[in-house]
Amino acid sequence: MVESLGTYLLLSSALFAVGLVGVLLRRNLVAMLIGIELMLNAVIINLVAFARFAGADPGNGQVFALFVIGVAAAEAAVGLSIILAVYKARGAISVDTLEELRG
Amino acid sequence: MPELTPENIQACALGLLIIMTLAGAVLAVSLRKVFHNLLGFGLSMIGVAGVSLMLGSEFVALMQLLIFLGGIAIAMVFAVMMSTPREQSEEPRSVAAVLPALVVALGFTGVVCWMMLSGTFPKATPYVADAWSVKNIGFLLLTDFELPFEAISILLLGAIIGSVAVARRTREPDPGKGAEHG
Repeated sequence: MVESLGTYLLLSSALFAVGLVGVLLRRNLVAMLIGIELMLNAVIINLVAFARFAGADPGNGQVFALFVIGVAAAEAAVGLSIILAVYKARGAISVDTLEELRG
Repeated sequence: MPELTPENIQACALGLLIIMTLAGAVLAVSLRKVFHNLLGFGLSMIGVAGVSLMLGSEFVALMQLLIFLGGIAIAMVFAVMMSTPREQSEEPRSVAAVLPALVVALGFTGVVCWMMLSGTFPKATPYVADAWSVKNIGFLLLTDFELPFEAISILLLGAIIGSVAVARRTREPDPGKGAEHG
């Protein structure tokens, strides 16, 4: 179990699915951001697992994982500041308050 | 009772970490109060960092703990404290809203699992501590991955400046919407 790639791939796809449900289902912006972070973590598990099991040089996979972490940090910073701006403008951070562009 | 070999202990640890990760993720998605979601998210992040550790990548595990738990989760706590009343919980969604989301997510997982089960994967390559060392990662970052490394630096700089600019711009909240608190 520890030495098989399938375990980690199943874990990461399950984590990705849970994050996807979070993004699709929740209406609170912070909760949607949590879902996105969960999906990014699923990707990181995948990268490290393939680095361990299928990579020629395991360093490559780890460097990619670090890049994903960096992008996740940038995304969270911008996302949270947008959420705060929305709260200042609207007084609520539910997506129900953001529907000007709804057809 | 199974014997207490290193392999068994490893398998137990991995099982615990997987349960922790998935349970935390489910809590992070399903609970109705955002603060509780954040606690579940933190649990899940500890589990993911542990999984990275099990895979042999100490540096990535440490960075995940530092950035996801110590940075992103804490920043989210601040955002929640500044924007949501503590006792406010979300309305439950209707079945008509829950069903499509579950279908999409389960369909995705099903396709991915089917592809994984129908393929064959290589066995683990022997663990070479040198290749997994921080030294090797740093070497790669400044040789093969120099350009992405610099691009990430610019991206982070832009994200910092952009987030400050976005968060500063609107000063006064719209009166009449939302409750006053804090």
